[in-house]
Amino acid sequence: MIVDSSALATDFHETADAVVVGSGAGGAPMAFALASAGMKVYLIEEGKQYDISGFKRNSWKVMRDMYRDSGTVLTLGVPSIPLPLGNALGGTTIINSGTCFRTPENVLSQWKKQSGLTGLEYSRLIPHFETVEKMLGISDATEETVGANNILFAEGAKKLGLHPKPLPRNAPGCKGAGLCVFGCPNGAKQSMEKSFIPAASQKGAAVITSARVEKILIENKKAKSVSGSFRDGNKNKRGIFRIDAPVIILSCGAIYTPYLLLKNKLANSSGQAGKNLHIHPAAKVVGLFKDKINSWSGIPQGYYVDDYAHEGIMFEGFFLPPTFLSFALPAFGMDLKKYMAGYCKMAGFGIMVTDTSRGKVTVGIDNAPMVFYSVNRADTEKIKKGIEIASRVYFAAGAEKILVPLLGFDEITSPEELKILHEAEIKPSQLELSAFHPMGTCRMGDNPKQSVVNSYLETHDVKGLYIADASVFPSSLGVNPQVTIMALSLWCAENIIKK
Amino acid sequence: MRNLSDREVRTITAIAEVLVPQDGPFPYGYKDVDITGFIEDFLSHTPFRVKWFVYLNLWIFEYFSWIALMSPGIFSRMKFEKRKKIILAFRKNKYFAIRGIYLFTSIVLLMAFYNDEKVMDSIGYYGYKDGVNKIK
Ligand SMILES: Cc1cc2nc3c(=O)[nH]c(=O)nc-3n(C[C@H](O)[C@H](O)[C@H](O)COP(=O)(O)OP(=O)(O)OC[C@H]3O[C@@H](n4cnc5c(N)ncnc54)[C@H](O)[C@@H]3O)c2cc1C
Ligand code: SF4
Repeated sequence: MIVDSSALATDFHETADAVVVGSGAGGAPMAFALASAGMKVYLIEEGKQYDISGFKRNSWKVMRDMYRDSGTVLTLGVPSIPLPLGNALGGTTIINSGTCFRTPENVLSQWKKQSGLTGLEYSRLIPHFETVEKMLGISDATEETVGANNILFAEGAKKLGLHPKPLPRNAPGCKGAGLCVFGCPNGAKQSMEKSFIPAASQKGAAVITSARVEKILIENKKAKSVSGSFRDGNKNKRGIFRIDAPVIILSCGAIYTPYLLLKNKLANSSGQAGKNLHIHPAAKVVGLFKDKINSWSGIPQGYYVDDYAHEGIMFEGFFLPPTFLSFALPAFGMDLKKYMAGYCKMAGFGIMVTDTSRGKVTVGIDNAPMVFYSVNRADTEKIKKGIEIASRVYFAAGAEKILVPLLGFDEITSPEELKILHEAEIKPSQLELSAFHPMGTCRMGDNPKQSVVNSYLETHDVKGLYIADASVFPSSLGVNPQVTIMALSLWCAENIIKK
Repeated sequence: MRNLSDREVRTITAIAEVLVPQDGPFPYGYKDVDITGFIEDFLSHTPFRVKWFVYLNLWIFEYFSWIALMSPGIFSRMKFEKRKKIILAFRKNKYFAIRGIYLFTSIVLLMAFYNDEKVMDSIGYYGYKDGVNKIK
């Protein structure tokens, strides 16, 4: 049963075996697993349920409605970085690119070395990866759907001796509409509201949307209940609810979970809640070509190159409708109009780095968190190197010009000019970045003085209070995180059920 | 309820003329798109802190952006070339906070312009036109 709280006539007070807060990559699999085990489960989501099958090219309307704060979430620091988050049933998965990687084995080993993580072995996660892969229909992007944008980059990459590969994705009936980050109007992408949430609901979980959890009540250091308010279409308060449950799982994402803990002054004896924020800073490189490519047609994130993954640099395809590509280009006025007139002759690839920079989440004004993050020198170097490589790839593929997100180097017209970039010392303030993967703000570990949750994702301080989302990662992951979040969530559920 | 005052609309138009001028390689410019209407809609869907930031940015543009050139004036009354120089100085400023003002304002205005149906058509973007998948 999926109920929008605006349809509820009165305030309510219920009891359950478990309540899951947030319906994204962490919350949805959790609700499914617990409900499948016969538990009485509530899944509470602040955002609404959307149906975008009538989508008409107006990607702005999607961003306005499904993205938190209409897509205007920014980090404060040098440089300031847009950090879009989903705020709808399905969480950020409804607006993500659909790329699906298992957790790299070496990253889990490093986490174990760094944080202990008793009991959490790679082999224990494998059945959970398999469940996720089956549920989401994960398979490699096909040549027919990736579109010319990815093929072009792959050709250039091969000329440089790199090894481009199709990305594993959760969109079995994908038609290459190129709108994954606007909800997939074809209904192909198996984000949470299309996969784990209906399955959870079928198993008996009660899913309530437009309901925001504000308070977590604790008694004798044990989870007791959550309470909050219903929201109307304009996100104004119109009623209150409370659910009593001995098991509470927070899955509000790496920005809103620590915010909720800090606001409630909970589970933070370590002082680590909200700290250790990583975001995988990302830079976009755009190649301008002589002929039409129509990069908007086809899967935007279809191929990747991981030859430099050991250095913390990943390359993945990207492209955007004009509404959003326009402001990602380093120009305005007549210059920008000239670039945009060649929209169909542009190609785009992204660089994502495994960051060592750390930010933090604090309680801000207006019922919202503040996110602080500055890029350090080491990460700046990685981003610069990534931009140079992607630019070389585009020249090898026949680009006439390259647009790079570095102040002072906006347009590069020849491989020789890249040498100037290579020699230059780039400061973090010159970077023009975006980021899509907040993580690490309630990290897991065996030591209660240095971490917020244990390896079973239960908070060290409060029995029965769990965290299952991107905030539990002990460090930057290095690959797109949704499958790791889902698998860890199922691992957590397995241990809750055993208890 | 209106979110923008007349003064703010004047500032927006003065910035829009620089960001999306009328001439150029395709036949549409700031006069052909309801940029103010888009921003009204944007503001009615954003929380107070974002609205406040938009108002602050417009206010800084209108009354204090001249500092970038050290040549006093009210932005919406300045000649086109001077406005262009100011916006360029903001965009290339070494202080990130100043670039941030350009960034945020330009994001909203450019989104408004390039989200327009006729502009999308004129540059050859046909994805999901009229709700129909135009992908081959
Ligand atoms: C544009 C974009 C593209 C991306 N592409 C990919 C990709 O291709 N592959 C990949 O692996 N990852 C991708 N990601 C990232 C991925 O989607 C996220 O890392 C993942 O969804 C995070 O899962 P989560 O459970 O931590 O949080 P979310 O999925 O963000 O879910 C949190 C949910 O909690 C809700 N919530 C918050 N506070 C409350 C409250 N107090 N009460 C009730 N509900 C609340 C929110 O509304 C939200 O729905 C992308 C992200 C973006 C923005
Ligand atoms: S490329 Fe198109 S059809 Fe495929 S998942 Fe993305 S939006 Fe859906």
